[in-house]
Amino acid sequence: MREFLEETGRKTRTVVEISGQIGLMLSQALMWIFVPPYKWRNIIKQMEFVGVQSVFVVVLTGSFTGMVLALQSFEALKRFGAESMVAPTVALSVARELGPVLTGLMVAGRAGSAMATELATMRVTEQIDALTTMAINPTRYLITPRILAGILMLPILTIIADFVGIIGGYVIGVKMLGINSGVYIARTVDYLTFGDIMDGLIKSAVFGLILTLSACYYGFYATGGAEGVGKAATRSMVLGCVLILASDYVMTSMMY
Amino acid sequence: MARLSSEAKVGLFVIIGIIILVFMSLRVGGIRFMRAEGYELYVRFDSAAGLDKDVSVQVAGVEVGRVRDITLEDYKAKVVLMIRKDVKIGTDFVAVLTTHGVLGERYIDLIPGSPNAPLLEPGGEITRTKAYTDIEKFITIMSDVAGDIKEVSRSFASVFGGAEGEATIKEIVVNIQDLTDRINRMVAANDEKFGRTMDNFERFSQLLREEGPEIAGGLRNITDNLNQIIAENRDTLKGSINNFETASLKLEKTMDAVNRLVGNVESKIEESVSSIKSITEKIDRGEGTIAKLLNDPTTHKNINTALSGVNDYLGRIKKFKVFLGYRGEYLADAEDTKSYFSLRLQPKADKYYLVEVVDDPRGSRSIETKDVTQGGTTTTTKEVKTLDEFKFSVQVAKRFGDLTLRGGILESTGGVGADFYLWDDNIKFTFEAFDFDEERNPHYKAGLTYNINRYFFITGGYDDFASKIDLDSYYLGAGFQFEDEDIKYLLGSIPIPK
Repeated sequence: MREFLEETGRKTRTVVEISGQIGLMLSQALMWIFVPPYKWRNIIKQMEFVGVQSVFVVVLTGSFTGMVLALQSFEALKRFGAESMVAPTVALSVARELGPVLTGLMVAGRAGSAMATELATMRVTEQIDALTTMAINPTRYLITPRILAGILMLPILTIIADFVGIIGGYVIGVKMLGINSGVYIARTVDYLTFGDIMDGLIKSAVFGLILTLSACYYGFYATGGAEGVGKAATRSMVLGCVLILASDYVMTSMMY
Repeated sequence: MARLSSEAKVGLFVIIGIIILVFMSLRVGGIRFMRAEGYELYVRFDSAAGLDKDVSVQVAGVEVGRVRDITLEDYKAKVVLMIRKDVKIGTDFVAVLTTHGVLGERYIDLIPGSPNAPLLEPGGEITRTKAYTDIEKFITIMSDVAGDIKEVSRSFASVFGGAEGEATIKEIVVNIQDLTDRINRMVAANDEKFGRTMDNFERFSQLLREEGPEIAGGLRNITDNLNQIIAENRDTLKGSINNFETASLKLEKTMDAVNRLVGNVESKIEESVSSIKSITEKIDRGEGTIAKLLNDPTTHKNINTALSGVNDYLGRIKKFKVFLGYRGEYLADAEDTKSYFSLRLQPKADKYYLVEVVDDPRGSRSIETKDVTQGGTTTTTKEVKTLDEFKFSVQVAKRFGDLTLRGGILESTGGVGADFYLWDDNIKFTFEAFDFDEERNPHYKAGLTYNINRYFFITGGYDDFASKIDLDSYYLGAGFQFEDEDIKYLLGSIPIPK
């Protein structure tokens, strides 16, 4: 019984500790965003890593998501003779939810884990300590560019995912399921509003922040040699994905 | 190509993202940069159930604005509409709260009134409203209707239920049986006739479908030609009307004279009558020559013969028929119409005289021979010139069974023709030969005429098909013919205008 209580207490302390450390890291990283001079080279490098190099993965996920949505919703909507409603179903699902969330998850898996591994390696090989010794602020030099890249690049990846997702749905709906192409486009345009797209983009910016922050946290505070590097990658990935889904729920309930 | 730097890659990536965003937002068109662009109108509905802010306001299915606000005022829904600046709404527009389909979303439809109605000022009210029946109301009404039906069926049951009702129904059934039996017999008796009628109708409609456009074209040509004829003969017509007036004036005078005469002779007639009376009295008594004549049987016989002669004559007049007709034939190669105005005098069923006036667009045909000398060689070219000309036909025709032979003057030259009739005279094959000229061959014409009904017919064939001077042409035409009762009595007496 006492062990259980102690265990609960320890867990709680860990959660509070982690939250505090993350909060601190976030506030420092955000503060450094507004303090010139900017580390442009680092920021651009991270942007390329997070954004440009994720395009392929995001396009694949986006288009397949749109296609599978068209197939599934067609089966259901056919029963009501509302085949043309496939178009808004695909467009709204992709723009509001699936575009941002799947992009966030894919980037967390691809870039987030890589980021955590990189930072953790730097930590265990004492490169970060070396930076501190050379009077270079590691937060400013390592973390702020990554977080900034996440916040800026995720919306752009998301808009690409939205676009190819809708195109994918169109291709399946019109070419394979035989929905009239004019009707498909008209329904999409009828039901999709700029607000839907914008909400998705705001979400994705938050996801970008969450996944980079989680990667930076676990990488930055990694301990325990090579094993610790692996743990950091896994943990950052799990926390990132869970937080993305949870925050998605919160934001969705606030937005609509 | 050199490797792109990180900056370039990120730049390209951002630009692509922004382009897609701009493209999509323009397509969905949801941005309202110009929220204030437009003006407000308001409308009061008894119920605005299902209506939300930002719901579309449409005229003729085109969005012209949005619902800006919905408030309650005097227990009515006051709906504020934001209408686009370039759309003017009249005071007699009707605002309808309706839905897309049965389950579709709500919108407000503004139905335009008269185009002359004054326009609403910004802040004005659309006073005419109408709420379409929504699903719930519809269901309520339907359940009322179902109740009514139940009531009706109950009263039916009370009427037809029981032994008495059963007997009534039985009687009705027997009656119906009898009736259908009769109908059956009637149908069976007339089955063949009906079939024939349907066949005829089918053939006719098929022909109409195939020839319809040509017929229409031909009829148009005919009316054109008639118009032209009337225009050309306007003076003549006027003249004949004048003549008729003069004639009737004269007749009036004559009648006056006759009246006077009658007045004068009245006394004399009286005298005559009294003398006739005395004569007949004498005849009755058998006095004098006339009495002897009348009492003689040979006289009686003579009179009989004379009377049968008169009868014969009258019968012939009765059989005598006059037909007036017009037909236009469109010559495909000449791209012009040949018109015929015909008068057919038919003293007997198997004999008629045909007088025709023909307006032929290439009636006058002349061949000009030209010698052209070019480079030492002389070539002779023939040139055919045609001119519009009026022609006349006077023919006598005799019918043998289904074949009619005719001859006389055809289109102002000597000629012969033959008509072969089929299918109760409704189809007529025609062959004509006239204008016998060695140089350009006789004018042959073969054709087919179909009577659509008693008055109208259509025709088609091949005109001048043996022509050496390339005047052959297919033709299609239509016309009408009717029997004229009056003309046969007027023929001798009408003053023919000069």
